[in-house]
Amino acid sequence: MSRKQRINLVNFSFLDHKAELRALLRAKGRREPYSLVESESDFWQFLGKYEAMMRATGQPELAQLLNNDELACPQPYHRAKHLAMHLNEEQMLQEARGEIEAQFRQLILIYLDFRQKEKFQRIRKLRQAQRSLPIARFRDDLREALDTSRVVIVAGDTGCGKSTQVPQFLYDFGYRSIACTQPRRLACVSLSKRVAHELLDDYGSRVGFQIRFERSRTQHTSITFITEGLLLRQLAVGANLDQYDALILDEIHERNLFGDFLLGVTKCLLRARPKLKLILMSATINVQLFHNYFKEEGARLVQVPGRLFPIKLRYIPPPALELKAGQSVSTSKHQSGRMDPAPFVQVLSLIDQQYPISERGDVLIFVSGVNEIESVVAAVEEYATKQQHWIVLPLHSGLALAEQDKVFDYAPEGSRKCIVSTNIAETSLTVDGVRFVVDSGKVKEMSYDAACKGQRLKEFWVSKSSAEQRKGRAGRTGPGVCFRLYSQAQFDAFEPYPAPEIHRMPLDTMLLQMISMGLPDVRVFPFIEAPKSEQVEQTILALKQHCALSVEEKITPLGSSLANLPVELSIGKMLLMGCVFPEVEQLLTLAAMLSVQNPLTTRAQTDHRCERERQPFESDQGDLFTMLRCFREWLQLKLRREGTRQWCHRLGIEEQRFYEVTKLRHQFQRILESCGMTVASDSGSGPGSSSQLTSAERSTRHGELIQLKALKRRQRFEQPRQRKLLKHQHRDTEDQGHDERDDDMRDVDLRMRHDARQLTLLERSARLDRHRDVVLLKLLIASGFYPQLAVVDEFNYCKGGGQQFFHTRLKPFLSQHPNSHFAKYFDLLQLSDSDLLPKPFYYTAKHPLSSRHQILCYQSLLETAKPYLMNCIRLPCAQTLLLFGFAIDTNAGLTQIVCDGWLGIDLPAPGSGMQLLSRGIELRRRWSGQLYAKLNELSDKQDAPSSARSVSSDLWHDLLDFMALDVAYAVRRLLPADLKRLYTHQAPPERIRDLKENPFAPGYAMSANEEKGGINVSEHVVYACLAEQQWTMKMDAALKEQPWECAHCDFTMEEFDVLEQLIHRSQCRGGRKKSKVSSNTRSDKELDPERSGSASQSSGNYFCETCKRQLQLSRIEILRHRRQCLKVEGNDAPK
Amino acid sequence: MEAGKNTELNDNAVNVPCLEPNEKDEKQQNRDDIDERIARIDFHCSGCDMHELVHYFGREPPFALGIQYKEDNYVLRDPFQPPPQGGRPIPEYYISLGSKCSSCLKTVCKGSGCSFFYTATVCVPCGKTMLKDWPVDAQTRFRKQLVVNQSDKEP
Repeated sequence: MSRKQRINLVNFSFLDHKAELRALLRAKGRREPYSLVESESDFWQFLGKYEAMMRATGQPELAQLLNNDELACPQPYHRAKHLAMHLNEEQMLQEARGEIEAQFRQLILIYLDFRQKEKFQRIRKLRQAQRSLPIARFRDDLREALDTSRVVIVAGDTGCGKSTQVPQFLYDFGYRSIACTQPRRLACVSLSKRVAHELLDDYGSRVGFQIRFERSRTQHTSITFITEGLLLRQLAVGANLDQYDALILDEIHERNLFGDFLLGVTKCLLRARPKLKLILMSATINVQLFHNYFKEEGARLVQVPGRLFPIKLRYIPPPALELKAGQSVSTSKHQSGRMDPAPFVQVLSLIDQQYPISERGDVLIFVSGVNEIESVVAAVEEYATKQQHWIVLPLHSGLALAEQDKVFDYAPEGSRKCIVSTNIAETSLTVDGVRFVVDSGKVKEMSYDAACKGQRLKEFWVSKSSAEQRKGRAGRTGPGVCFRLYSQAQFDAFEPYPAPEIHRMPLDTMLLQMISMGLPDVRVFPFIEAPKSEQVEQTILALKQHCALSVEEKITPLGSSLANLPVELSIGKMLLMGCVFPEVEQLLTLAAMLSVQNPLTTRAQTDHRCERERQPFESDQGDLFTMLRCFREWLQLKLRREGTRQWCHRLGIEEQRFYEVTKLRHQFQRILESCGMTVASDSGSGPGSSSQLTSAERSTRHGELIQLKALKRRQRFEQPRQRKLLKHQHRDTEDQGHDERDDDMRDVDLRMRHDARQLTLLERSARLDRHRDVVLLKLLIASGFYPQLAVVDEFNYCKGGGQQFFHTRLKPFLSQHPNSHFAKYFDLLQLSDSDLLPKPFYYTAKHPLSSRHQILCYQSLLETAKPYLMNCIRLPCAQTLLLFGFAIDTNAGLTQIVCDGWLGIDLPAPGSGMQLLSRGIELRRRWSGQLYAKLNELSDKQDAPSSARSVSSDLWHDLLDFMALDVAYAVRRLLPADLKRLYTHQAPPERIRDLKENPFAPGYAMSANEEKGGINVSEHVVYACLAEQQWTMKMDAALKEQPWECAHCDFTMEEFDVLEQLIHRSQCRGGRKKSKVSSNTRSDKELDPERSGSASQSSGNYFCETCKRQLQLSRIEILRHRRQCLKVEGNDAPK
Repeated sequence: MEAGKNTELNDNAVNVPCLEPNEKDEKQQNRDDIDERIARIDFHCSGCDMHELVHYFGREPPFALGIQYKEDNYVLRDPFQPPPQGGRPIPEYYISLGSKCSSCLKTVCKGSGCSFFYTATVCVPCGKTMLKDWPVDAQTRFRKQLVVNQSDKEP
């Protein structure tokens, strides 16, 4: 054979023969040859290094190749005898000829053997890392605990490995359907990726996750990471979570609303599911509380000590602040509204003085909120212009993900990174390499004020346990130091634990869900720490007012539909109320927009360029409508396939929110369709929808989808982001540092879900050009948000922008949020002079009379520096109150209406009260009637009758007419003193009691109202319970002189008597020949005298005796004229 | 695995009708070979207690084209590479975790503290007694491996 010439690497390199040798790297495949190596370039690199190594170690001459028999024999020594495999010559594409080729083959084998070792090491390292986790030593303890008890509590600090390892332990123990809850969506995704990796199942589906918009779960999945909220939903739908045999509740120490709720639910669940195992995992915070809670279930406790290095503790209360404390520190702080960042910089310079920069270690600063982060970041950046080894990074949940990820990057040698964070880094996010912790001791927490139904964001001292958690962050990778910017005495006064969220949040959604799950009495639910019973009662009352619960506290069809929708109650109600109308597309988009976080970034408000860019989209209907316009523009850009990322950045919009809107909207649509509330429409994205495309479109779409799917797959199997080296950079360029690919994926995802036609439909749904669409949407918003209304302070008209006040029923003197449209254009909410109408002589109250009073409907009430109304829209006042008020009271003459014992409406124009009220009642009953018909249909599982469509569009038009009613009225806020003498508290007069038929709501059985007086004439209206006032009596007296003529028929009365009119209305068949139009007796359009042009119909020639003039006047005008005429005469006389 | 992916895509509701026949084929095929994709063979190293389930025990794993092991090996499909699609083989889609000691027949992993390969696999304890029969170069290499492994463990 040709083995005579030995290859000497001194004058030969395989790398010079790549082209000829490349074919030898191939093996035969079924269809086409395939490569023997994963990466050819890696192979050539290896080869180069190998050659260099052989040359360097003095073995440039390649040893003779051995045959198989020779290889099996220990003597003599040959390198190749260490290779555990050989190439399968039969499968090679090309035979190796000659020494060069044979030796090259051998080198391939050496490379493959080396690669095998590398891969083996990778698995081994993974296992070693797992084994060195603190939790690993407790595997057997856990197994033993699970054998003897149904509830096991695993307490260990972050970093002990419990979240990744415990689910795997359970899998090893033989559990095959494990659910592990997480408070955050992101954690579900990253944990499922991590655990799959550790199970060597990156590309399989043994581990999956399930979050709001996405799931990766299949029938093969054994471990599912799921958000707490979603597991609760599963509980509500499928009974008792039968699909799981083990349930892990992670991070229960966080004590968030869902977590606490889950604890209670699982406690009940254990009784119903005797075989279910429950594992609770918590940081070592207040573990005893959980242990006691599950004492009767015999809970076992497995405590895992953390891996913590010693931490030096230094209390350094800022002396400057202490000095000032006696003086006016509080006022100066209020003025600037900003925290003094100097102490933080001082600590940094202290670190610079005492610790040489050669000793590595980063700094983590805890402050209370985003504003505080910004001021500290600014101060540290200034400091860093002198001390250039500092890299400052902000960290809070409002940051874009790519920005958040930066905190995990390495600081270059000789630099320190300084992370300025909210309490997000306390337990939920772990940054390694931190050696110094600077704790401001402050936290901003949302609290809920049940008394005014508002939330309050306030700064507090942290709890002892939080302070300890913060300290612990310094000792994760080595010994550390914790600087506390407060004194030991202050620390001693801290609360032991933070307040659980259940004490700081509205409970309505949770209670409704509990009831819909079939809990007979929420008051006896085994809360781990029960909320105040008053708050529970108030919530139940509110649910009743929203008709989600019946009087007996049973869930209503509306209630169970609401519980089905994964949104706040108000938004859910809005969606359901809108389902009776023929078009829900716009409503879906609106509701989705209301459900996401504010898309505007903090920069959007501070950067004037952003404001300027948004200017064209600004709507005088409020910020919500502005946002919808932006969203529409965004969709138009998408349709034109233009880049949206830059555009969003220019406007200061967090694009992620818009993607969320599209997903959320789709989810709403699916839920409403699946429960039959709406008919499936083609704007939804689904496999069926593309059938409407033409064949050409379909094939284009087909190609597109293949591409998109490939992109998506690639992303799914992508390795997690690697930590990078941080660069010192200027702030200006920082904003541009987006991850291009990341954004592409969201766009890909959107395009996968929406073809061009669907995008167009989506875009159309954000189009709000028609006034009537806006009005209907505003009505729907009000239907959901009621009673979140606010009225304008009566003195606003004479005050500037900063002093515009608003009042809600429960809380006076609120402001518009300074960033809101209505704060800038506050005149939009005021009456202009031209809106004011002249008052009739008998109406002597000071309140202005107008038909253009507005009321604000707000999404939430948030107290930060001041109490603010958030996300307001404006609506015609009286109409809104009549359509949605829970309790509407009137006097006998229908000239006064009081809503919810809060707002009084005076209607001094004759007939206007009757018109407004009766139409309000009628529309409201029609609306809820249609809604209930729909809800009942669902429970009867019948198909929707097609006639419903025309009925609902009638309702729509009538509602629009009602909203546009031109009625003169005055609005006044009732004070406690007014309330005392508001009601008659007497049975109604005999005439009213004797009414045979309900003149307002036919079919509703009237009954005397014991409490207020008068009679109940509909679900929400009490007639004749308000005590008459001076002006109403004067008005009655003035009108008594007047005869009354029905505008609709020939009926006339000698005296203007409201009750007679009411009775007549219900009997009136519309006999008048000229004006007979409507065949529908209940349609009030033609009935009301004011609207159908009383001037033309009931006016006639009138000759005034006093001023001797022939006048063309209506009856009311005649009355008015006579009074004025007399006055003039009287005034003139003395002259 | 493949089936899993398909379900996920179905969930996302992005399939075009004309794609479906293809996918069905793929699914059928997946169901047929799904069993072989699940690691069921117990591998337990007598030296370090390493415990894994592997896909194959023998010399010629069907998923490892182009190579043969010289003795029976416990072989895993490479979990770090995407699984093959449409029957196209993937290079280096195999990882041997270990084999049996040629002398005492105990299962050992490929770790430097557990086994050594010279013409055949030997576990470290057997290697220590057999080493005298080997050429000096092999002995040196074995001793070096033991030292490296020792120092590896220390920190």
